[in-house]
Order: sequence, then structure tokens, then C-alpha cells
Amino acid sequence: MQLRRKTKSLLIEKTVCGEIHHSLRTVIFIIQTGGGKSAMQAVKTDHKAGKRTFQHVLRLVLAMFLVLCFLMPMFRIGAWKNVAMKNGLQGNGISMPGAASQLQKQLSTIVRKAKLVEGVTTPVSGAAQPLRMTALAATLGLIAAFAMFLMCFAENLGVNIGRKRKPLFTVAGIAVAVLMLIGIWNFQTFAQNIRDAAMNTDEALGKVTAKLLQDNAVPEMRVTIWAWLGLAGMLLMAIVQWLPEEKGALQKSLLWFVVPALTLYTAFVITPAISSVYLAFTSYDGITEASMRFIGFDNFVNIFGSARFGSAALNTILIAAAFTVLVNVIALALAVAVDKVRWGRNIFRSGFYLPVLISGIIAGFIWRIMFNYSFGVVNFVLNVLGMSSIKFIDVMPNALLSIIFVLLWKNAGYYMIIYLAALQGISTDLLEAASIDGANGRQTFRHITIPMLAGSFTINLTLALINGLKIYDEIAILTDGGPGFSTETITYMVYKVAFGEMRQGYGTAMAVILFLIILVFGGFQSTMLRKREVQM
Amino acid sequence: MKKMLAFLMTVLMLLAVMPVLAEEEVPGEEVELTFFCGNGDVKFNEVVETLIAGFEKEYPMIKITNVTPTSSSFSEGLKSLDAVGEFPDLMEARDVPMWARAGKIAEVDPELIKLVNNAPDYNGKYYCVPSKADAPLGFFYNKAYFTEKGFKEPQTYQEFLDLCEAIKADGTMAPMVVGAADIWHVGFTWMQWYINYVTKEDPDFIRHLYTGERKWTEDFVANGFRKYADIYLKGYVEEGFMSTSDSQIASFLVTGKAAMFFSGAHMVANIQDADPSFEFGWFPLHNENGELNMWGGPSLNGWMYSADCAADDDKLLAAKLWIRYCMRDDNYSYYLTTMSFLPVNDIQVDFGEIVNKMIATQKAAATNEPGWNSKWGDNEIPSAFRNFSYKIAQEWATGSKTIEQGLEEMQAEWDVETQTFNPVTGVGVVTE
Repeated sequence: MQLRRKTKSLLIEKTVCGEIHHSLRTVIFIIQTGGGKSAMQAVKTDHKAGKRTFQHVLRLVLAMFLVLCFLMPMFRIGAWKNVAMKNGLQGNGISMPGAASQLQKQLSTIVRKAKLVEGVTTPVSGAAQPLRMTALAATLGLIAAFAMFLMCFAENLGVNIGRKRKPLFTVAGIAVAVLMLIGIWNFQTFAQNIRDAAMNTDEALGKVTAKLLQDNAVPEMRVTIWAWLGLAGMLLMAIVQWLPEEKGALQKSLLWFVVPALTLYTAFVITPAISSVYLAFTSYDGITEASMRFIGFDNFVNIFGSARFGSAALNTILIAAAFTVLVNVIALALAVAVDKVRWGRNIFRSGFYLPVLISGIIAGFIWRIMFNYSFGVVNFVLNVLGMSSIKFIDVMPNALLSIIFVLLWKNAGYYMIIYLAALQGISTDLLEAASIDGANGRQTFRHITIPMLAGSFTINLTLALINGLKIYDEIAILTDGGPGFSTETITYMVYKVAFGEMRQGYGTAMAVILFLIILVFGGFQSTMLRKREVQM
Repeated sequence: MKKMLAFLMTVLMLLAVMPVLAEEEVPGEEVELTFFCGNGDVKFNEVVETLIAGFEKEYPMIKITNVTPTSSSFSEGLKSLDAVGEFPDLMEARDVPMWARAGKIAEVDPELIKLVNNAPDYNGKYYCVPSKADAPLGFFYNKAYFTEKGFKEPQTYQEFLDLCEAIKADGTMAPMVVGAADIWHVGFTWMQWYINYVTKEDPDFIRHLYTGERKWTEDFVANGFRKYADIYLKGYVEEGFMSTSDSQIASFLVTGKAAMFFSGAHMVANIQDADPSFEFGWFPLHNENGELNMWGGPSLNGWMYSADCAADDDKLLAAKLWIRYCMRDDNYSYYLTTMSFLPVNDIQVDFGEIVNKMIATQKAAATNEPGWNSKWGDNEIPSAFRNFSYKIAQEWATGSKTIEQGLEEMQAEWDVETQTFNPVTGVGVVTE
């Protein structure tokens, strides 16, 4: 008995505290040995024994989170039930489906009576039926999430659930995700039904629904935000689940070092980003909570049917492609030039980098004045040289080309610095060896310099592509997306639609599409370049 | 009897004097109000800053912080502030129905409404204290040039086209300049052609669009906007109009680069600032029959304060003091004369020859109607539709879209926007 207790205590210590102790020991060891290769190798070897612990703990945390994600909406549904009961509903108040049933009855009464009101032609029948489905999905989901939690807990206590874990987790995980989606969908429908019912009743009959709306002005938000977060948690769980366990133990251990940054990033970037995805399925105008009606995929259907979005998508691709290629060519040329130049090297470096320090807004204003058709300096110079004025930002395609020019002017210095750093890192031994072998300048550049810059190419091309897809400032000031909509990009359109045109839901749907585009393009490009890096 | 009468008279006199003797209520402690206004017009910014400085001097315990961003339109700026939880306390009133529906602005004190005549309400409630009536739009022109060339103010639309043609043929300067780089400036010309050819045909055009009885692609709409686009396509507008902003058009006029521009009364001060000695005239745009249909009438433009501001006693008091300060005769007179805004109460202001002519013309016009984007009720347009239309107008002007293509896109956009906002069916309009 005593031995069992001791074993259990040791297991708990190992699982719960072990990773923290190990991480601290790792940090101290790395610091003591200066973080050299041998030290890192030693840490890797030393850590192999506890390599699964981190994954276990993370799974346990995520499972707890999933349980919470199912519990919170249920509390919310319970609150709805209570409000309904306080306002005259009779019900047993024991189970969620029971409460939903009572709501169903009450709404049916409202609807029946509403039919008597002259002019009401669209009463809602079966208004609370979706709530029953939501409650059922939440209950089943909670069971599935709790099962996952129990498995994780057992695993953390050292119980070997072995090969069965993956299939069990997969089944439970899919069940959780599907039930969450069913819950979200049904609750949106229910909330809309409630609103419709409230609109179609007279003063006395609308008492319950009005109260529901008053106390739960954004019901979908409060309930389904947890479901969306749960889906995100499920995604993370899937990633953790399928991480190779025999490889990369050291990297997993080192993940602890990024926890502080990751926590802040999650709190202020990832969570708001994920939670905003929900808005893409609503008609939210950004200021009126009551405008937040769930409209399914309507925003996406409207976006893909919009000529304006098509034009913005094309411009986004054109600008990103042109910017990515040209800025790297120019930056590399500048880097090579300032690397070779003997006189005034620092002046040239600073000069080329200076535009980077100016904000996009300021750069936009500067060039808007410079490009002005009637008073602009550029046209003035052209006129002095005997040439006629050019409409730089007044007509297409000049406006698009002007934007690309300003982007290159402003950003080339940034990419130049990265190339310059890489150029200065090339060993002179290699260059001297090439020279001794009789290679000329072009051959040296082609066969020594370019391959040695492979890493910088990867970074610069990836950064340029992502930045090119996100261009906003220069367009906003230089052309305001015009003439008409001709120079709008998706990023710019997202802002204009969400803030200028008061269509937050529509804008968020576009942002989701942009995110997917960046994910696909960025991922593809990064993978291709890394392969090329290895080949070189 | 005489004693009784004398006593009553004394009591009455005392009662009459009492409000004067009562001290004006001021906040008990220091209060800071955040302030937001449209920033498109340089002169208006100047007026606002002057009023704020004077107000802070008179009420040292109240500080007004102007949070108006420099680079966004009114609605974008206000929405952005709201999105980051910094919705201002005190604002220039625009888009009142939208902010009222969102619950962001408060009903104003009924005492403040008494400062103006016939304040318009929204759903029976007053959310703003109007500070100006919609002024007529028309063409400001270079008087010396007109005199020199013998050009007359046109009395019909055809005469106007002939005038443009004559100025173009003369070649000294462009017939007109448009600051189309600012999307809201595009609205001035849009408005006049819209009034002349769309609402003249159907005064309830917007409501009929909501009910499905009308489409943007109707012939009379296309004909009206074809005339609008022709102004640009026939070369009557100074080249490079897409890089010209509203703040530059006065300098185009006074430097002889353009003979005319189309705008509101507020431009009088801008022209005088650009060149005090410059001689200019003004004429309205008639339709083919010589009839005048003008922009004018009551509007929900003025001052409003936020619901949060109204919930704080000291801030509310400070906001009310601001509105009273701005509507006080000396300040209101300064505000009106500097901006050439038309008054909303009985104050007597000497505007000068040009604005007096504008007011007289407006009174004589066949129709006066509020701007298409500042109507409310069944004729309120969806919030995104105004700028969408002006962007289409830019594309017509640059020739990158035909009238038919533009109107089809407008109809498609209308169909999308009315899925979530339709005051006729009640969609997107919260009723209390």
C-alpha cells in the first residue's frame, strides 16, 4: 500500500512537476555551457527519457479547455432558460432539452397569437426546436470532451493506454468538432427565430422575447464564441496528437521558452483573430449589436459574386507578385553595390535605408503631392524637360504602377539590409578560391554568392510576398483605391468595407479569405524555397 | 387696487430677473470631453479650433480634446474610434439615424432643441441640435474672365453646356475643376444631377428601390447619369481631376487654371482666403426647362453627444455648455459667416452678396430637398451605398465603365446591402 502511494506520488511529481524541473535544468545547463553544439546535444540526449511528458501535459490542458468550451455555452443556455421562466414560463428547469421544450411551447403560443395580429404574415413555427438540438449537441459534446479529459488525465498519471489512444482520441475529437458545429449552427437559427418572434408580436406577447433580447443582446456571440474557441482548441489538440513522438524531443522541451511570448500572442492576436471569424457569418455592421444576425455563408456568396472583390483580388496578386520579384531584384542589386563601393559606403547604405524609416502614410502623402497632375514636382520636371504631363494616379494602369513604384522606393532598403548582412557573411576563402580557380566576377556571383544567399532569398521572398499581400497605407493615401475601385486590394477593401461602409461581417469574411490566401501562398512558397535551399 | 397692482408688477419683475441672477451651472470638477468632427474642410477645422479655444477660456474647468484623425472620412474615423472603445463624447452630428439605432448617441436635452427652429426628429426623438440648414449647391466662377469673354450665367442646362463648350474652345483655362480625389467632393456634382434627373422623376425613388418597384438600371436614371458623365468625357473638367483634392479647387479658380467649380456656400470663405481680391460670381444649375431643383431644407447636421457622455453628469453638463456656447449669438454668427452656413434660428447675419444670392435662389427654387444621403425613414440609403455610388461615378468620369455597367453594379450592390438593411421591411432597423 505504502509502495503504491509512493509510486503514485512519484508519478505525479514526474508528470506535473517533471517538465518544469527539466526545463529549468535545461536552461541552467545551456547557460552554463554557453549553448554550444555539444551542450545542445547533451540536453537532447538527457531529455529523451521525458520526451512524452510535454505532449501529455499539453493534451490534458487542451482537454480541460474543451470541457470548459462546452460548459460555458450550457450555462448561457441556462441563463436564457431562467430569463424565460422568470417572465412567465412554466417548466421543470431540470434539463436543457426540458427548458428548450418549455421555450418551444411559449414561442408557439406567441406565434399562434401573433397570427391573429393583422399584417403578420411570417410567424415562426418551431422557433425553439434548434435550441433543443444545441442543448443535445452540447450535452453529447461535453461527454466526448470529458472522455478525452479522463484519458489525458489517466495518461498523465502514467496509465499506459497504448495503441488505443490514437483511435480513441480521433473518434472523440471528430465527435467534439462535429457536435460543436451542430451546436453553433442550431443556436444561430434559434437566436434568429427568437428575434423574428419578438418582431412579430404585440407588446404583451413580446414580453418574454423582448426580455430575452434585452438581457442577451448578442446571444450568438456569448454562446458560440466558446464553441469557436473549442474548435480552435480541437485543432491544436489534433496538431499535438499527431506530432511525431520519437523525433524532436528537444524542440518540444524548448517550447517552454516561448510560453511567455506565446501566451501574450495568443491573448492579443490569436484569440481575437479566431473569435472574429464568427463575425464572417453575420450581418454585423460593427456598431449595432442587434445587427449581428447569423446569415450563414451569405457573406462569402456575396463576396465571390462581387466584381469589386474580383478586381481587388487580381490587384492583390498583381501587386504582391510584382513587389516580391522587383523588390528582391532591386534590393540585391543595391546590396551588392553598397557592399562593393569603396567611397561613401555608409552614406549610400543610410540613403537607401532612409525611406524604410518613413511610415507608409507619410510616404503616401509625399508621393501623392509629387505625382499631382497639376502641381506635382514630377510633372513639373517633365514639363521643364519638354515632355507632357503624365496622369500618374488618375488613370489605370498608371495608378497601379505608381503604387508599385512607391512600394519599391519605400521598402527596397529593408530587404537590402538582409542581403547585405548575408553578403558580408560569405567567407572570403570561398571567393579567393574561386578567383584562384580562374572564375570571373559573373561566375563567382552565380556559383558562389547566389548559393550562399539562399537563406536570405527564402526570408526575403517570403517576407516580401506576405507584405505584398498586405499592402494598405500607400494605397489609402495615394489613390484611396481609385479611380473608382480600380486600385483596391483585398486588405484595403477589408478596411473600407468594415469601417468605411459599416459592414463588419462582410469585411471579416474577406479577411478570412485573405488569411487563407496568405496561408496557401506563403506555405507553398516557403516549402519550395526551403527545398531549393537544401539543393543549393 | 393700485397697491395690489404695484405688488403684482414687482413680483413679476422679480420673477423675470431671477433667471438672470441665477449663476450658470458649471461642472463641479475638471472635465475632459473628447471631440470629433469632419476634417475635410480646412476652414471648418479653423473655426472648430477657434471655438474650442474660446470655450476653454470661458470654462477653464472643461478641457476639450479633439480626437479627429487626419486621414479618414467622418464615418470611417468615428467607426474606428468606436472599434477601439474610444467613441468620443461630443461630435459634429452626421449619420444621426445610424448612430441613434446603435445606441451610441443620446437624446439631447429638450432645452437645447429650443435654441433652433423646427429641429428635425428621428422616430420622434431629438438626437442632435442642428447648427446649419443644407445650403444650395452651384457653380462659383471667375467673374473677370466671364466679363472679359462676354459669358453669361446660364439659365438652362443647354446654355450651361454651351458655356462649357465656349470656355473649352477659348482654351485659356479649363471650364471647371473637380476635386475628385476626395470621395465626398464627388458627392456635390452627383447630388445635383441626381436631384435634377432621378428624384425629379420619382421623389420616392429610394423607397421604391426598397419595395422593388424601381431599379437603378431604369432608363431615366441612366439618362441622368449619362449627362453627368458627359461633363467629364467631353473634356469640360480640368485634366488630372482624380489627383485634385477639395482643398485645391479654390486655388485652381483664383490662379486661372479653371473657370468654375461646383460646390456649396462654405467655399466662399475658401476662395476669399486663397485670394482676397479675386472677383467671383455664383450661379445655380438649371435643368433643360430652366427649372431649379436644389439641395436644401432641414438636416440632421449639428452637434450630438454620446450615450456614455450623457450618463456622466459632469460630462453631460459640459457637453450642453458647449452646444449653448456654439449657439450663442456672437459665436453662432462667427460660425455662420465664416463658413457661409445657413442659420437654423432667427439670428440675423450679413453673409454678403454671394451667399445672399444663394439664399434667395434657394427660396425661389421649384424644389428643395435634403441630400440623398442625409434623408431618413423609408428614404434612408444603406450606410455603404453612398461611397459605392461615388466610386462608380469616378469610374464613369474616367471612362473606365459605361453608364450601364456602373448602374448594373450599383443594382447588384443595392441587392446585397438591402439583404441586411431595408427600412421598408424593417430588416436591420431596430424598433423599440
